[in-house]
Amino acid sequence: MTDDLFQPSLSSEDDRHNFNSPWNPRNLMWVAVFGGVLATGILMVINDRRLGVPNRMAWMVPLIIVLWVGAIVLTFNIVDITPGGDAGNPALGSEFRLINRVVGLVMAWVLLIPQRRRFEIFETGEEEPEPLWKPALGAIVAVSVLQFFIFVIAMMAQM
Amino acid sequence: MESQPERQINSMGQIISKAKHFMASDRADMASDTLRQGLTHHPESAYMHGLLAITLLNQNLDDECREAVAEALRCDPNELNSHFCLSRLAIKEGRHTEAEKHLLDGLRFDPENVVFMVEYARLLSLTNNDKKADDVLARALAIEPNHEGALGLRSAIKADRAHFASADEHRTKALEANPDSAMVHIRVGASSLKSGRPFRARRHFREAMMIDPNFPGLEEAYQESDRFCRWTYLPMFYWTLVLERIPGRQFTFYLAFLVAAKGLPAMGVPDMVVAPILIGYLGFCVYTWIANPLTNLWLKWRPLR
Repeated sequence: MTDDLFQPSLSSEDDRHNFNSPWNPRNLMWVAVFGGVLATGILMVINDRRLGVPNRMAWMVPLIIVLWVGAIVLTFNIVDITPGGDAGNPALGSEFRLINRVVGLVMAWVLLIPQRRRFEIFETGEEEPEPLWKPALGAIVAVSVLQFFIFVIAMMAQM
Repeated sequence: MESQPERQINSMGQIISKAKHFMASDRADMASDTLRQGLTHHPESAYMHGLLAITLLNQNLDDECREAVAEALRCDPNELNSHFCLSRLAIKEGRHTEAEKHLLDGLRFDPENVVFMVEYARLLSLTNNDKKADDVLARALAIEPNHEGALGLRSAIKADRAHFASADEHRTKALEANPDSAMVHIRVGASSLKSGRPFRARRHFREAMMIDPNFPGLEEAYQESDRFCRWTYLPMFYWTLVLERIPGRQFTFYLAFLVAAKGLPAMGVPDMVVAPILIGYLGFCVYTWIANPLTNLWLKWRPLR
């Protein structure tokens, strides 16, 4: 049969194999809401491997770091952290959370597209995805502590 | 799988027709016994081996099915039922590329085989290739316009792709062609749910239950559709349908909320305008969180009849 309609169109990415207890990528969006760019990025990179998505660490890791640093720099540009500025009031944390969430959500939505496709293949089987809440909580807390220290150091440097 | 021409001698024809009779009455075990007996007299019949493979597949006897397939292909490498079984086994194990190969092999041997086309479309739909699945089904329906499986599956795919008018047209055709088929009512019910018609879905699931009360999973589907029809859940049902069509789903709305919460006051919009928008959003969020428990409570008070 030479009909184009009946030419093979599936690839190995359409096979239900190479899965290693993946997390549901849709739930990673919640990590973006509560943890922002870095926490989501770390879990996304790990989930790429769990879902057997072709390796894209080489460009994804630098992109996540650039976006995270960008969110911090943008916050410092919006909020005055010099002595006598906004640093002492809640504006700093509030502005950073907002920027971090917005950037995190947009980044997650774009970078999760291949993961969503692979996860839909995973869902054709009977296995359940790995619960995400423990690693998500761990990543959110760890990244929040790291970000707190970065802000403290940045403010001390301004004094 | 009855499109393969039968060239067997008369007694073989009787065995095959007896086995098909058992298969049609959902007695796959009796069908496989009949075929096994027949194969002792006609061990080189590829068609009988292939039919046996189908009956074993229907009983989830995968290893025995593979053995029957091997025998069938030894007798005739083009035996269609065997390629069909191999594709089903491959789909079961998640080897979708291999399943595609077997289905395309079958279609190479018999290019007008509608059963293979529908199965191929099902595989494509399973792997999120809905556009191609739709094209394959269009080809199948051009050959056999009233094919139950093709009409039902195409209706579901059309509803998935938000082509609701076309989904409705295929649903109607499927029902007109096969009004007494439980499977058609189930497919029409599923397609109605995707098209945002929960009441119609519930009606079709109920009719399917009246035709075949023992159909696996049907009672759960009926209960689920009834749940969607309850007033406590109906807004949530439509909201979920809307979200499925929006990139980013609820997170897009959350982003819009963040932008509105920050942007509107900065643009000088008075608080008396901003406040109801934000309170309305929060109220709706609370509803989406409690819709499920609220419906559970309602179902306890007004259970399914």
